[in-house]
Amino acid sequence: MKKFFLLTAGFIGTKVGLSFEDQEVVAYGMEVIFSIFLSLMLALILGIQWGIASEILVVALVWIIIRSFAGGAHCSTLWRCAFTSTFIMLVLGGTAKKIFNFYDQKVIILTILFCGLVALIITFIWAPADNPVKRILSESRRRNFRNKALVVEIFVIVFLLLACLLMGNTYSSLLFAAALAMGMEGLTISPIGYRIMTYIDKLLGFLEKARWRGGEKV
Amino acid sequence: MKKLTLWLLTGLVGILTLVSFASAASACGWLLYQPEVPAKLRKE
Repeated sequence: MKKFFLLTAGFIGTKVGLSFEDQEVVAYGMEVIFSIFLSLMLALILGIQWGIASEILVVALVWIIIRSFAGGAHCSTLWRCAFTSTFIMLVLGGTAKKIFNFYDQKVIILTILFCGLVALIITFIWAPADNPVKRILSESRRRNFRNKALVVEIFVIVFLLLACLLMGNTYSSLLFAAALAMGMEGLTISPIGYRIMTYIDKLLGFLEKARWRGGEKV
Repeated sequence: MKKLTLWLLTGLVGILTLVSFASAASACGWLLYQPEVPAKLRKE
């Protein structure tokens, strides 16, 4: 896919008059937008069919906001990312939608506090969790990201608690989805999350190879 | 027509550059995929 984005950026670059370095920046922007668009669209299409679209949007929003500062584990290719992200968003959104009916306000508050606390502790210890493609080596930059991630998480926790107290059970499934997304993001920062993600990545890679060889191994 | 295309492409390049900058300034990719950051945006 990267070649396709570079070719497209090259085409635009020749029309507008961009240097090769600027074309790379434009291609990077395309790749970022495409990866988010692909995962979100897949999750939303399935979410609309299953009636969990709003929960999925909340999961994506909380996840993306915290992840911008805290980092986290990654898949190695765009397609594996799309599959895993979609799967996680569907599971979290579906869980929030199905389970919240059985819980009252107190349980939702406890869930928000528990997931928030887990996310805060993990963020304090391991954030920002970088990856080989994008290393954060400067200590001041790491500290800056960690502090921002903690502030954002505290803000999200306070917002969710206030929303829960003020609105009662009206939007419980959305609040539950946001709490789960916060907990999940915390998990992807931790070493266990990295190990799980590596395992999923390898599993998907194995399935991809088996499929492309004619499917004889599947 | 040619001028309009040029305007549109310039706008597109502006938006894509903004997204690139925002993504490069964040700790990592916004979902589970992190494309390789171009040398021009790399900051360690």
